[in-house]
Order: sequence, then structure tokens, then C-alpha cells
Amino acid sequence: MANSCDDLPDECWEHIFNRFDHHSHLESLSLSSKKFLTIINGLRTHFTILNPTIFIHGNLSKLFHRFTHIKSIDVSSFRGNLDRVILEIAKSDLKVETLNVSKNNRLPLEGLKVLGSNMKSLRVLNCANLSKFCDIELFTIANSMLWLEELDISYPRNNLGSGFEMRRLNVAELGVTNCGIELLSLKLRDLRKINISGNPFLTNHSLVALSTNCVFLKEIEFLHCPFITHFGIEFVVRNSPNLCSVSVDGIQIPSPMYMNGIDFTFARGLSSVDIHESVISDELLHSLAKAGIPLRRFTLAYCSNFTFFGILSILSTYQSLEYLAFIDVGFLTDKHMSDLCRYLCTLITIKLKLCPKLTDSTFFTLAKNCPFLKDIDMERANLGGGDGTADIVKNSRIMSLNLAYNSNLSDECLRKLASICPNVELLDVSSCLGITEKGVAEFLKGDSKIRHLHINDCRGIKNIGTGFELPKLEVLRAARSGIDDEGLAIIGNRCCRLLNFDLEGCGGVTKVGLKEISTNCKILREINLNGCVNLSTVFVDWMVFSKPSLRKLAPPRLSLITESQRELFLRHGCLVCDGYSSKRYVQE
Amino acid sequence: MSSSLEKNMLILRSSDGEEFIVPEVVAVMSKAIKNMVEDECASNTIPVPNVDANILAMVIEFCKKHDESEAEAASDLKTFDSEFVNRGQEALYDLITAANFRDVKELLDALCQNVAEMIKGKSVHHIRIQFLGYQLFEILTSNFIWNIWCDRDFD
Repeated sequence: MANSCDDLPDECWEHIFNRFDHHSHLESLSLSSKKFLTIINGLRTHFTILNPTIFIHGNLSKLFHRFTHIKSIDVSSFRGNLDRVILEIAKSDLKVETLNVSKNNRLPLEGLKVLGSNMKSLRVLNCANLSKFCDIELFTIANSMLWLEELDISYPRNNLGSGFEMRRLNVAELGVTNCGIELLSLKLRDLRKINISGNPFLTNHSLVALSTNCVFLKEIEFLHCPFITHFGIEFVVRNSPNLCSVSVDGIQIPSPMYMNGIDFTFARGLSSVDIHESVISDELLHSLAKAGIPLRRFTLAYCSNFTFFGILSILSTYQSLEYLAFIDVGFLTDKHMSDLCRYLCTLITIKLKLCPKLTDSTFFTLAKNCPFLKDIDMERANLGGGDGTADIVKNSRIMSLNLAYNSNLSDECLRKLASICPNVELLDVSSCLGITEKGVAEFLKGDSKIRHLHINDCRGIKNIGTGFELPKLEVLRAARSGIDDEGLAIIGNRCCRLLNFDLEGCGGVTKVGLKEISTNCKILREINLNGCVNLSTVFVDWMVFSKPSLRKLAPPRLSLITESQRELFLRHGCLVCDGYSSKRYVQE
Repeated sequence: MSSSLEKNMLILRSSDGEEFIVPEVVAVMSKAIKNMVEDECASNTIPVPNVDANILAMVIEFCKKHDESEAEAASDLKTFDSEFVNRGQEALYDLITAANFRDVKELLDALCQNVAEMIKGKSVHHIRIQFLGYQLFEILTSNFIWNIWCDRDFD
């Protein structure tokens, strides 16, 4: 009997289609039948608008008619007429809840007003990192989008110009001021989450206004605001009954006025505390420990003037932490970590970046003592520098390992790590100069679960070792690694489901190897060949026309490709663009 | 008949009339049956329409295993799941329909994941033949309208 899609009710197909982690998997499905197309159109909730989107579709209303359930729109990478896009969104019948306009130049104020009056469903607005964001923009948002619950206005790139120009402007034209925040706090009564980091003119006054007027405030982040002091922090902590997450930096304790640190006792719901770039003291950590708050997430990054005993008092008090990050805590040793481990039974994520005294024995202790651990980040630590005597216990829950910049990491050490974590899905060993393909191959043996493999800057890695197929591997980032044609042949043979391949700056790559990849990796979507000096530009033509699955390609030298060629490629479905930087992006 | 049963057993009757005696803890893994038991309309035999004996037996097997091995290692269960869902397409469809209708979440998740894995990376032709029942000659001879652009996203 022939199968047909009517054998299953729509509801079941929806269940199935919802299991895909990326909408690219739905592409051929929605082309294969009308019924599937209808189901899939209804499932799409997020949409990213890029320049090619406009180039190909002309306008957006067609798309908005098609995907009627879009809840979230991202225009952060769009470089074009933002005004028109915002107006089209405002005039659509969608019920958009999340809009991301970050990283753009400046906001179209008229468009925002229309958006505010038409789209009453909007709850989350991200305006981070705009090249101009001052009080006037903030006023427009405050006056037209009264229902906002989350707002991000962090790190505007307001150009202050020369001193002469600056003198002619008042402060409201240079950036966001207290006045703007006060108006915002009076208008947006439902505000739950706000990020005001990187707005240098804001003072404690802003925090007082936000904390007094927005009673539902749950999360607040104010890094890099030099005029905000612990008075402001203490006020927020005392006055916002719903506060559950706070991120601060630049605290100077002890200061003459606040010898005792900050009293956290009033923050009954505070579950997440991030302290960055501060001079703190053990007293502050002790007072946090004494406060009896339901702490789940704790971060100490780039802080100084505290000792192991401060950390110990926090961790021994709050034994149900799920997320712990110590960044640049230079004094932490393996011994310290093995003392702390007994308090970390519920931990899911741990980040121990820039802690140069921590070796593999810390890793072994964590794997042994934290049964729920999923995510270990030990970037720039000293893995491979331990004596390797600790007992090794398998931990099948660990899924993500970031071990980048561990220059002492060896193949032998990787072998041990692979035997501890059989279910790793993401492995990042970028810039570990001491490892070769033998070490990485340990993670790719047998029934490997690896989906993301990052080996950027590993010159010692020439291939990924021979073995069985790796149907799970989807992303392989091997920029500036030692991969050559021989390596590509092996990768082509083993990684049939590869989606995203980064080969930036791999001098050993020629068209011989890439043909292997092109034939064997049937569903490859993105490839970066930026700076592959032994590839001719003609090869780009061949690649685009012979691989219909390809959506994004960074050519060896973009300057050699004309605008009309790029348009032609785009009409073939492939965006030929700049090599996206595969240098390590800033991760949370 | 129910009087002769132990207290915490239930009888499920498939669409073709076959009866299965199942411990209550196993049967209530189906939300639909759980609701019936809670509303006390399950004093006697519970009819399971739309699901034939063959499929019902499989569903019960799955639920039993999941009930037993709650304490067991998760990896064992995973191997069982992957073997369990490894069936022909027709049986899979019937199982999915049954799991959806009776609201057995674990089973539905495992089955849908399996079908999704089957679809992943397949071409349009492949999907049409395997999942939509097209014959090869239909694909080769007909003029499908290719609305390619609609689905070309670059993110």
C-alpha cells in the first residue's frame, strides 16, 4: 500500500515537524506537497530579515501573509531601508511579540510610532548597540509602546564628535539621560526586564526611578555605567520586591561609606547575581551568603580583592546552584575546586575561564561529583598540566565542552576526556596548539554524538581520522587549521550530514579536496573559503551552480567577484558574502 | 470479569475486540486513560477505539518498559526506544496516531523524533516517494510548480 500524508492527522505532522532544530530542514518538505506547506507555514514563529530577503521578495507583505504565526522578527543584520521594513511590519496583521532592531544605524521614529499604535502585542524590544540612541528615541518608545515588558537599550554607539561639536549639543542629544529613563519608568509600568548597560550618563537616579515606578521589575543589568554606585544597587535590591536577577560592575568595596557591603536580605526573590569588574571583599560575599536568597546563578568575572573563603561561604550556603561562572579568578587551584565540589551537586553549567591554575584534575573532579552537569567551559585554563592521577568516572550527561586556548592540552589528555564524556555534542578545542587529529578522533569514534566541532587555529590537525560515518556532525569550524585535501576527502567520506563548514585561511585546500566535499556532503548550507589562497575564483561559480543546497558562501577573495555576479549567485539561491569572522565570538 | 482481577489492573479493549489486562500504573501513562480513571468512568473494560490489537500490544509493551525502568539507567531506555521505533512506515504511522489519540507523551516524542530523523536531509523527490506515496514516473513526468524562492532563507 502506498503511503500518503493523509495517513497521519495534521496534528501528528506538526509534532514531527516541530522536532527539527532548524527551519532549513523544512525546506524540501514544504516544496513537496501543499498540505505540508500549509502545516509548515503555520509552524514558523521566527523570521530573520536580511538584505537578500528584500532583494528576492520585493516586499515583506507576501511573506507575512504566508507565515501568519510569526511571533518574533529579527532585523539586526539588515542593512537597508529600515523605515520601510518597520512600517511593513506595523501594517501587517501579525501578532509580533519580539522585535530585534539591534546593531542598526538609527531608529525610524515615525515607523516606531505606527508600530506602537498598531502592534499591541509587542512585548520585547531589543535596541542594543544602535549607532545613535538618545533621549528622543527613548521618548518615542516610552510614548508609543506602553505594553513593553522587556527592553534592551545597552551599548549605543553614539558618536560624541569633537569637543567643539559637543559643546553645541545638550546632553540629551548625546545619549540617554536620567530624564529619559525616568519618563520611561513612568510610562512602561509593565516593564519586567531592562538592560541599560553602556549608557555613560546614567546615575543612581535612573535606578531609583526604575525601581520605584516599575513594580514588576524582575531583571536589571547595568554594566559600564560609571556613575552608578552601590547606593543605586542597594536601592534597587531593597525596593524591587520582584527582583530576581541583577548584573552589576564597578563596585568599589570597601569604600568609606559602605564598609559592610550591600545588604541583600531584602531581595527575597533574587536568584541570579552577576558581579563584573569590581573590587569586592570577602565581607560582600559573606553578606550575600547571609542574605538567605534563593540563589541559582552566580557569576564573578574580572573581580579582585577577595579570597577563597569568600567563595567558600557563598557556595557552602547556596548548595542548589545551577549556574556558576568564575572568570579570571587567578588564585583558584585544583585543591580549591575539589574542596568546593561537594557543594555543587545540582550544578548544570560551570564556566571556569581564565583560571590558569586549574588543570585536568579539576575536570575529573567536576565530572565525578556533579551528576547533573551538562556544560563545562574551561577556556584558557591549564588542561593537560595536571599530574593525571585523579580517578576517572564516566559522566554521560555532559554535552558541551569548551576547552579553547588550552595550550598544554595533549592528545593523551583528550583521550581521557573522551572516555569520561561519551555523549558530548559540542566540542571546542580551538587554539589548542598541542593537539593533533589523534586526540580529536577519540571523540569521533564509534557511536559519536558530536554535532558541533570547533578546531579553529589548530595547525596540528590535518584531518579528523578515519572511521565510521558521523551522521550527527553538522557544524565543523576549522578556520586556519591544518586541514588539506587529504583531510577534506576523509571529512567528505565521514560527514554526510554536514551543514556548515568553515575553512577560512586553510592554505592547503584546493579544488580537488573541495570537490569531495561538494559530492559527499549532500545538504551543505554554508561554507567559508575566505583566504584559501590556493583556490581560484572560478571555483566559486562551479560550487554555486553544482550545489543547490548551498545558501551562503564566503569566496577566497570577495573583491574579485563583481556585484552582478553576486546578484546572479543570489538568484541561484546562494548568498556570496564576506567571510564571517570565525574568530571567537563573545559568548555569554 | 473485573471482579476476578486484582484491584489495580485494568482491561483495555482494542478496536477489533481483543482484550488486554494491564496494570493501572502502565495504563495511566496515557493521559486520556488517566483522565477516564480519575473521573471514575473506567470501572469496567476501557474501550480503545481506532487502535487495533496489534498496535495496542506495541503501545503497552512500550509503556511497560518505561514504567519498569524508571529507576534504571537512562541509556538503557534510550537503546530500547531506538529499537522500538525502528519499524516500517505503516506501523510507525499507526503508532503515532494511537499515541496522539491516547496522549502518550513519551511514545509520541520518540516516534516523531524518529520520523523527523528519517526526513532530515532528504530531497523533495525522495520525500514525495517515501512519505507522500508518489510513484517515480509521476515525478518524472509531471510539471510541478517550483516555488523555490519562498523557502530560501539565508539565516
